[in-house]
This record gives sequence, structure tokens and C-alpha cells, in this order.
Amino acid sequence: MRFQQLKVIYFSLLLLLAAECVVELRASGRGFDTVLFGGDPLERSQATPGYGPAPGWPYRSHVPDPDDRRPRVWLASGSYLHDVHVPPASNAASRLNLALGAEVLVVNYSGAGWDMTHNTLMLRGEQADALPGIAVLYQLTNDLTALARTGGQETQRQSGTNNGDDFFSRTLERTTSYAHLTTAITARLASHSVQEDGLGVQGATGYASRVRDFIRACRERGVQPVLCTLARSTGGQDPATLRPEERRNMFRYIGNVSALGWLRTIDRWNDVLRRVAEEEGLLLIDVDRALTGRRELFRDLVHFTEEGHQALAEVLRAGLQPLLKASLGGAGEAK
Amino acid sequence: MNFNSFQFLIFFICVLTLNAALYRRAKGRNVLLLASSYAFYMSWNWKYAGLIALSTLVDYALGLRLAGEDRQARRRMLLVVSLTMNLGLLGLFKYYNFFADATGDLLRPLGLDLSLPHHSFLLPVGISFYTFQTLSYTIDLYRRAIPCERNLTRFALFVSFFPQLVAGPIVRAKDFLPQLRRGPRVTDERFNGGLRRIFRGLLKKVVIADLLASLGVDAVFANPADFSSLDLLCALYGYAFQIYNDFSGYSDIAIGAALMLGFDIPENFKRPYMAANMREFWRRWHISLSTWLRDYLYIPLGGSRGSRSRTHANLFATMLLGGLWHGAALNFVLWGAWHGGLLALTPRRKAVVKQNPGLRITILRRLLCFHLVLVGWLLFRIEDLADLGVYTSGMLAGSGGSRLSPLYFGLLALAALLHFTPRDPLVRGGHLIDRLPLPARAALWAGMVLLLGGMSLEGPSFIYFQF
Repeated sequence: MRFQQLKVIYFSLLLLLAAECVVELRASGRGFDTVLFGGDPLERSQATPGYGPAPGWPYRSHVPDPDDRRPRVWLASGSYLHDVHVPPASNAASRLNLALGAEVLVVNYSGAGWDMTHNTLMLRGEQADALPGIAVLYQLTNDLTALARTGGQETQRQSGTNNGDDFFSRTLERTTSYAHLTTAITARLASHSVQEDGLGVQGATGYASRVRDFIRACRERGVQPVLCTLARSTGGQDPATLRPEERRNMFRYIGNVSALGWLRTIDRWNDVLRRVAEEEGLLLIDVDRALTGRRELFRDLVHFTEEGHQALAEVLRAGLQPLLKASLGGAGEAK
Repeated sequence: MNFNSFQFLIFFICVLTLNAALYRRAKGRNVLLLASSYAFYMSWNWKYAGLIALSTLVDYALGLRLAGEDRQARRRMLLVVSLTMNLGLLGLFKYYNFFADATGDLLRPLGLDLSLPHHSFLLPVGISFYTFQTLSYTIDLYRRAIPCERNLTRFALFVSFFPQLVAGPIVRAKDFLPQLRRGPRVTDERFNGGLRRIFRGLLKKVVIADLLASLGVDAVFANPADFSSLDLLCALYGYAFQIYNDFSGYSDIAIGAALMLGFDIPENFKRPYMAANMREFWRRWHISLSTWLRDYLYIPLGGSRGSRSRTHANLFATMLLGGLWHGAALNFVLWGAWHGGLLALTPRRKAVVKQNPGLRITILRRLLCFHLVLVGWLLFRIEDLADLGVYTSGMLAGSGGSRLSPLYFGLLALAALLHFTPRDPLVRGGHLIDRLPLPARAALWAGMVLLLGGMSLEGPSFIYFQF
């Protein structure tokens, strides 16, 4: 065997790398996150003194002093609140922090792509002195994509594998070529799958069990859970009201739920949240009733504009007020 | 580390590069391949590497003892130790829970409420494959069919060689150990052929098997009551082509990767749906398993040496165990029984050859055989036996209309075309690629990587990984 024989492979790799460089250069110029050109230009352009992400503080919210012992409120969520399209100082967590004043520290305990299982896992693994008094859960569609892959069932791995969570897979998923390919090919192919108009009883049961697991984790750690329903840009269940990019975005992640299925499932699972909150005697902040259908607040089906973040912060402040009043004696009064 | 993952691509290029650097140093090369094989296996689950190491060390030591032992009783005892250890581990991880439940169910009508405890160990990936591989070594050694391997590195590499470690083909010691002693052989033709074979396997896996599953088969089998007869039938055809392309795609990648490293591993498939009867089907489908079962189970049971009824019983028992090899579930047992029954009913080879049928009869026989195999796939694929009735009654109801997309039907037609054309177009087209200049070939492979990456809908890993 000679290295000469490997030339065709090295050459192919070089071509792939060159292609990635070209698309990344273009993407970076437009302000997107790229692997080769220094991480996250959006993040850099939005760097705000005093706000994360910063060394030792990965959250996109106000960085406290190391000896800050104020009661904490976590907003446990996914990309809805992590949202790199909005500067950290302007997202709902930071605005809520401002609105609640100096007595409370609001931590944006959210990450793009996190689903509720991830939030629960983080909560269980967090050090005791960093735990909040209240954890507000705002999480739904990432669980929808996760449960849709298994037909609505929570599954356990059948054989001893740990695929998909390695360094190479994570790096690959950050490349611009990958983003282009998933949009141009994967989403188009996925839209030809057999699509269900909802995830049925199994899906609702799976989601409810995730919510209850989050509540259990909170209670185990002495944290007060608060549930929120999810708001979306369009009300009703008519897929025709969706914009083309909203529709395509759905198939980028999962192909076996139709647009109608997404709308139905969001509504059904919001009802699950209402029911679980009632059964468990928890505070529920009905963001769905407050904001759904106000298209000007959304940049797609479920992600907010800056204005939307402000509106969400107001709904959360109003919702949390009674709880904060009871536990802190006055924090949360409008400032 | 799936073969169709970016992680494997990087891993394999690193192994190829280091293998080229160590090509002339036999010891270093074997150590590299052994370390790579363990790294590959540990990427699935590092804890179970100890199991392969245990099997390897025990069978290596038993092999040395067998080679130096002439007393038949002692030789038999050593073989029994090997069989007990290997089948014991396989039984514990794969079958214990199933048999614990079955024992409880059998004793309940007698008034005995025996609930044996369950274990919660995950099934080690590839355990059925490497267990059969090491067993073939000790049995062949016992039969004095092969010489003993005294080099531990070579023996360990035979057990754990990564291209075929997790889903075969099952390699025999008599085929692989001589290659390790002689050293690998990598010519330009073999290297390029291996590369083409890998891409052929990836095309089968990503473009045909995964898309058939994602676009229709999985959804139909998940809720058969929601689909028309046409959809149910087409999903069953789709599953036949999915499982063939998934498994033969994996085998192609394994054979191609081994070839690029300089080794030959046996073919596992010869277009099985072209078979005209069930015996021929089993000479074309999962060849390394069927020949293993023939040589180490069917023939020791008596093979076809006894009466006709004894032969039938042997065939039936072999296939029943072959079904159970796939997994501890009733549907695999039924699948094995179905094939065992059909094989018993199939006339012996001489009788078939004598008839020398015309083309039309051959086509009809092939169609019949394919549809008998299809019934077996229904038993194999169905997860809940209660769905079997729903599926078959739905298929026979004659309802029309379809929820499957035109793309699914197009893909099904493509899969059938590729399988039934006299010469595989993927093989024929492959040879033309070698004539292209280097930049064009590199561009083609790079383009294929992008295309396959984009088409990789998040689907299951290879079906046979679970066995």
C-alpha cells in the first residue's frame, strides 16, 4: 500500500474543505455562525458589557457578581429564549430581570436545540448553590420533534450505542454545508414522507411525562416549578395561514408531522400543560392566550422578534408577580 | 460509529493513512488494526470491549490447549468450555429476559407463579456476530480443520476486525487468519475497487434503504390500520428492498473497507430475490450466516444423511435457531419456522436441476419464491403479533387509494430495477469511474459525500446492528 493510492481521498477532502470555506465565507459575511471564521459573529456583534455568554457564565443574560446571593429565577427553555438573533440585553430573560428589579436575578437557562429532557438533566446536575428558587419552563416544539421521531413514545436505547453526540457529529452539524444540505435536500425529501396530522394520545402522554419529570426534578432539588404554555405566530389550525418559510422550517427537523399536525399538537400540548399545572397545583402562565396570533411579535412560527421578547417578559412578570410577592414580599412590583 | 457517519469517515481516513505508513511492518500494522478495531467498538459502548477481550483471551488459551492435546475426552471438554462461555454470554445478554418470561408463561397454567428477575443490560453491539466467529475457530480447531493461531495479536484481530465486527459478514478463521499471516495485499485495482464498493454500499443504505423506511415503510408498519391495501402491500415490498439494501449495503461497506486495507472478506449476498426456490434463496441471502448454520449446526445434527423426515427435522431446527439468532422475540422464531418449513418442502437440488424449466417457468418460480420470502418479512418486521392480523386483513381487504408519495413508488421501482436487471448497474458504472483523471474522480467522490450527507434523513442505524 502506498500513500499514492490515498491521493484520491485526500484530494476529495481538500475539495470538500474548499467548498466549506467558500460557503462559510459567504455566510460569515452575512453575520451567521460559522465553524472556520471565528465562531459566532452575531454573538460578537451583540456583545454587551455585563451580559453573557462570558467566561464562567454561558447564559445569555445578566452576569452576576461571584458573591451574588439574590434569589434566582431560571427561565428553562430552548432557542425561544437563547435566541442568538436578539442581543442578550434585549431577550425576554434580561428584560424580565430589569422589570423585576434588584431583588431577583433572572438566569436565561436556555440553549438552542435543548428540549425538556435537557432542561431536566441540567437541573438535576446543577450545583446546589447555583439552584434557583423558581424555575419557569417554556418548552414545547423541541419535544415535539423529539417525540415525533419515535411516533410519540419515549424510547430507551435497545443496544449499547452512543451515536450522534460525538465531537465530529457536533462539528459537522455546525458547518454551513450541512445547513445548506439539510435545507436544500433533507427538508425537501422529508416533506414526501407519510405525514400524520398530530401525534395523538401517545404524543400527549409522552409530553406530559416529560413535564412531570421536570416537576419531579424541581421538587427533588427544592425548586418551585412554574409552567408556561407556548405562543405561536398564527392562531387557529389552518395551515394555509402559515408563511412558506415557517412551513419549510418544520420539515427541516422532522418529516412525519404535517403542518396541520404541528398546529394541532401545539394546541393539544398547551392543554396538557394547563391540565398538569392544575393537577400538580402549580402556577401556569398562559403565554399562548396572551400572545398567540400577534404575528408582529414573531420572526417565524414560535421564535420572537425583539418586540416579542419584550412582550413575553411582560407576560412573565405579570404571571410571576403573585408567586414572587408571596416568597419575596414585594419583588416583581412594576418598576 | 455508524458507517454512514462523518465520525467514521474521519476515523477510516486516519486508519488508512497510518496503515500506509506501517504497511511493510507486519507487527506494527496488526497492532494498529487491532487498536483501531477496539477504538471502533468502544465508540459504541466502551464498557463492552471487555466482553470481546474476554472471548478472545479464553478462546485463544483454549486454542493453544486444544492444539497440544491428543486425548479426545479432554479435547471435547475444552470445546464444551468454549461453547459454554461464548453461548453463555450470548444467552445472558440476548436471551435471558425472553426465556425468563417464556418460562413464567409456561408454568403459570400449572399453577406455578414463577417470576424470574429481569436484567437491564444493554445488548452489546455485534455480539451474535463475533460469538459465531470465535466459535467457528474453536470448532474447526477441534475438528483439526485448521492450525492453531499462536500469535495473540493476530487472533485478537481476527475476532475484532472492525469492518465486519458489528454486523458481519461472519468471517471464518480458515479464511482470515492465513491472510493475516501472509500480510495484506493492496493493489491500485483492489484499493479503488474497495472505495467504489463503499460508495455502492452507502448508496444502497442512504438512497434506497433509509428513504424507503422514512418515506413510507416505518409509518405504515407503525399504524397498519390507517392505510389502504395498496399501501400495505407496497410497504411490504418496500421493506423487502429496505432490509436487503440496508444489510447488503452494510456488507458492501465492510467488504470495501477490508479491501482498501488489503484483506478479503466473504460475499454475503448474491441478489437473493432472483432465487427460484427457498434453497437457492438461502444460498444468496446472508451467505455467511447460512453457511455457518449449515456447517456447524445442520451437518452435525445429521444433515441430509438420514431419512427424509429426519432431514426435514434438521432443516426445521436449524432455521428455527437461525430465526432465534436474530433476536429473542416470538416473531423471529416464527420467521425461522416459516423458512424451516418452506425449506423442508423444497425438493432437493438434483431434482430441481433435472427439470430444466423454461424461462417463463423460471420467472414464475422466482415470483413465487419472492412472495414466500415476503410473507417471512412480514413476520420478521411486525413488532406486535396482534398487528399481524390487522396487517394481513387490511392487505386482503382490497381497499384502494394511497397516502404514500409518488417519490416512494419511484424509489420502490428503482430498487426493484437495480435488483432484477441482469447485471448490477452500480457495479458496471463503477468500473468507468477508474478511467477518469484524479481530479474528476476526487470531485465525484466529494460530490457523493455531499449528496449522501444531504440525503441522510435521520433514520435508524443499520437494521442488523441490533442482532
